Amino acid sequence: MIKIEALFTRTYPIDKLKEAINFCQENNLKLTVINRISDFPINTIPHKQFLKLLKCFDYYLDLKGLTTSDVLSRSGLEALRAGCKVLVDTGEIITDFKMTSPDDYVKLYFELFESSK
Amino acid sequence: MKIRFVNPSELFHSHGPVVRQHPLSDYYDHDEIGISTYLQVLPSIALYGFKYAVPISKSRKILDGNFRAFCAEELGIKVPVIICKNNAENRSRLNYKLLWIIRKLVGKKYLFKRKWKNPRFNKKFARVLSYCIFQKNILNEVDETPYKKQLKVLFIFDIAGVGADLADYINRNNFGVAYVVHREQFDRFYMTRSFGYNIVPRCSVKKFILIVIKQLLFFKPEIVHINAWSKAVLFTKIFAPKSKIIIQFHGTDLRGKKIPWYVKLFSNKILVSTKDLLRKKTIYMGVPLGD
Repeated sequence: MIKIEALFTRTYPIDKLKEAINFCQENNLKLTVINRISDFPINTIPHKQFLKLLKCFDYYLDLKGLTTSDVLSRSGLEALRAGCKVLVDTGEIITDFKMTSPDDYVKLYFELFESSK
Repeated sequence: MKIRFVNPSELFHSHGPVVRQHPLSDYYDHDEIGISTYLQVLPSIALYGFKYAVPISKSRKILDGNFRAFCAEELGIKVPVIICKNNAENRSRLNYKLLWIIRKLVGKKYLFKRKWKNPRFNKKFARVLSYCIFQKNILNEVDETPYKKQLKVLFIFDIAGVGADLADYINRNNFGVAYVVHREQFDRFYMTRSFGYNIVPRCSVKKFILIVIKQLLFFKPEIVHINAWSKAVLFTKIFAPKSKIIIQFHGTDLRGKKIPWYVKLFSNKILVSTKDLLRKKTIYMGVPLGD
């Protein structure tokens, strides 16, 4: 059986819980909310466990006040890689995003280092 | 009150099978309490051991910390336990007492014991050390890489796990040696601390600056990658003048602000992690994801 569920993480300074609830009511999705920042430092979910959690959901609501189809948060990127669909602040649902690989950074380091010789 | 270390199975079996309530069993609501608390407690104990002891009654009934005892059983660790004589029902007062005792007696010793026993931590720490002393990798056989030289990279500050993931990628593929210097207060989701070789102290700003300067002087990095903390450009230029400086801005560090003059003057490359922050002479490089 396939679960259709959505995950939303509350962060500061902009809290968009109402919009997340509205989106889920319109699309008949079951919403789960995690308080990642307010519970700090006792009850935060570590990064590695968060990645495992993402795989259980179909939608990730990346509502942070600034996200668009070009601008995604780190957890939004992780959600895309885990196979979720990501909702951004402009109302679009994103399934593909061009990511930078760590290899690009390494190339840049070596270019810089060799240019100094 | 004395702290004793007890096998968790002793605690559960003394009362028979009825008391045993596993967090993932049907007894708890899965959405509300069970999974989320269990997921939070287990990795933190695996990484750092216990910070607070588990109070138990004279008849060995757990008064507080049922989840933690289950986690310890799964990890195969002994539980620090305090047998309570009086005031056992007054939880808030009891917790305050426990906190004080742990800080005085056991706290830090027990914390660091587990970290040093971790084989992964020891291996990677030795690798960085060996490179600093002998200038080559002794522990790992060097694979063929497209690059001739191995680089020394230092990451100052770590935002969105960029430094930790990149350092791990460089170390694993033998492109060089890299590690991160970061403050524990800002490492909210255990991204940097999950790799044992990174330096993540809990300290004030002044102490942290001293630590960074020490790393610059002794590690002598060829490339310094700074995340967000623009003032770090100044003292890297002073204490490691030969190394190349890269600075990367993420979100609110630059949104609605100007790039400081000393960053433009001294840094070799200015990176930006989202496209809306692009300005003159800046390059867009997104957040890299680790494995």
